[in-house]
Amino acid sequence: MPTFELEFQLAEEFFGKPLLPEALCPENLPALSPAEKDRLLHEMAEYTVWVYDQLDYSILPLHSVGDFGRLEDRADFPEEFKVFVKYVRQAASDKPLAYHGDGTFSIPDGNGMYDFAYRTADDPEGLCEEADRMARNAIERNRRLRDMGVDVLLLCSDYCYNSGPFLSPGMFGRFIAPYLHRIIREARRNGQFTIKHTDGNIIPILDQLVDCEPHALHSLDPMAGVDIREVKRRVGGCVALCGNVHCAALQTGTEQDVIDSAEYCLTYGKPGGGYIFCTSNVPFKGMPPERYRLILDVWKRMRDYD
Amino acid sequence: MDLKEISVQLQAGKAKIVKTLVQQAIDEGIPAQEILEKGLLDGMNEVGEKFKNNEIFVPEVLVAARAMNQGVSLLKPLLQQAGVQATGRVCIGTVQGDLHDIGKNLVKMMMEGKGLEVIDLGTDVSADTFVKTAIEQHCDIICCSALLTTTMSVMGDVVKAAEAAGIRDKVKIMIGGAPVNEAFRAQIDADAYTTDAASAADCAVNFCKAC
Repeated sequence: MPTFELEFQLAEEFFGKPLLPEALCPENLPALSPAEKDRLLHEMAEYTVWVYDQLDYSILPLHSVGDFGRLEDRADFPEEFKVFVKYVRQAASDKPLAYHGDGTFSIPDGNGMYDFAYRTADDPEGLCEEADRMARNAIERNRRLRDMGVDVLLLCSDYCYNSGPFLSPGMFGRFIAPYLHRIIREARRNGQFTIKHTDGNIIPILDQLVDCEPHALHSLDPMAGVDIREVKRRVGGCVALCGNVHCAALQTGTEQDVIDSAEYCLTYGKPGGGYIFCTSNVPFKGMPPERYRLILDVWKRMRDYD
Repeated sequence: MDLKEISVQLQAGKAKIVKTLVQQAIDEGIPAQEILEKGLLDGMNEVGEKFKNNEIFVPEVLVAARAMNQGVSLLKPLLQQAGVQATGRVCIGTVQGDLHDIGKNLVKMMMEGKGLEVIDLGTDVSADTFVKTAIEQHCDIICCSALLTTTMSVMGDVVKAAEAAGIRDKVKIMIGGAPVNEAFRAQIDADAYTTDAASAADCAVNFCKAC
């Protein structure tokens, strides 16, 4: 059974240095000579591949590098990122590479939420036009990612709270699902895989998400009451599942809570295949590294199919 | 006029109609408090219940709240003239180190819909700021929100800061957010944990009634 995470934020805690070296942070890039930058990107790529080899990841999630904020073409990528991906591709020719490719509305934050909510009532057509523009942009971007060698698109717009979706199922069907479906359909045409991630309680929109035909659904957030056993029963025959290992338990639970959660996911995710073992979020900064090691140990113990 | 119509239009999020109806009710000489309670708050109560039961969702709640605010803007001066007090006063914020405000904003809105006066401290709020505001503004309740497991411990600091300031018996402390649960509430000795915005508003009203 494969494992990977959408992001791995504990490289420094595990292996002594972060995936993105400080010298390659956007504010430090102008000080680097082209040769120095190239050398650092090469090192970053080799380190990335090495880290994920140590963790036995089956898919390599790519870290962002370069100043994305300064791009005028919203479908483009910084040169640093392109070079980095090229070097990762060279160093890991046999592994799928993953990067972000969503282009649908996620739950807005701050005052953006008010504007968005009012537009659902006052200007639904305008909102659909914006959703259409975002989807077209994402499709173009994902095509460029394919040309760079990225095989897996992580579609990470969040749609749900712990209590349920931000939008009603009806609004989801109008403002998100058609555009998500289009992005996924184009990715499939390009030969790319898609993993749709969202936190929260997805159950009220589960069927709509599956109808958008992603290859896999990620997070299956147990903190929101999502149970992999139930999701597997309902939709396991038509979409792969990823996640459900309890992130809050990893942070604040007992060791036994952590082991129980990992064993539960493996027990109920594994039958018949179609499960990628991973946390319900990411191994985030501040999570005790030994807790993440603990779930990897459970995975190693239970990963083999008979 | 039938104030129920205000409630119905508010639930549908029809801000302009609500404003017109509230003005009409004022012109007919209906007391502002009655318009507020039987029209606007009745509507928001319905919205809160439907939200709690997943019959309506956040955008619909926000649109209804906008309609309520339109009506309240007309009533406010009249309520002040009549010396009508808010049900209670709450200060709310997302704890220090945490910039997430979605849940906090929802709770604020639902509380206002219940007639509570809410002082919004924003995000990244220190324990001392919560307590200082509660003292200076005579708040009945402090509401703390956190989305991150790494910041939820600040909620415990708020409880301790309230104790240190000598106001722990005068103010209720409510907590909420994705990583928070009842066990954590008991651990830090806060007064209430609620799972959603509508329940938080109900809980706050009950606390204020008991004051």
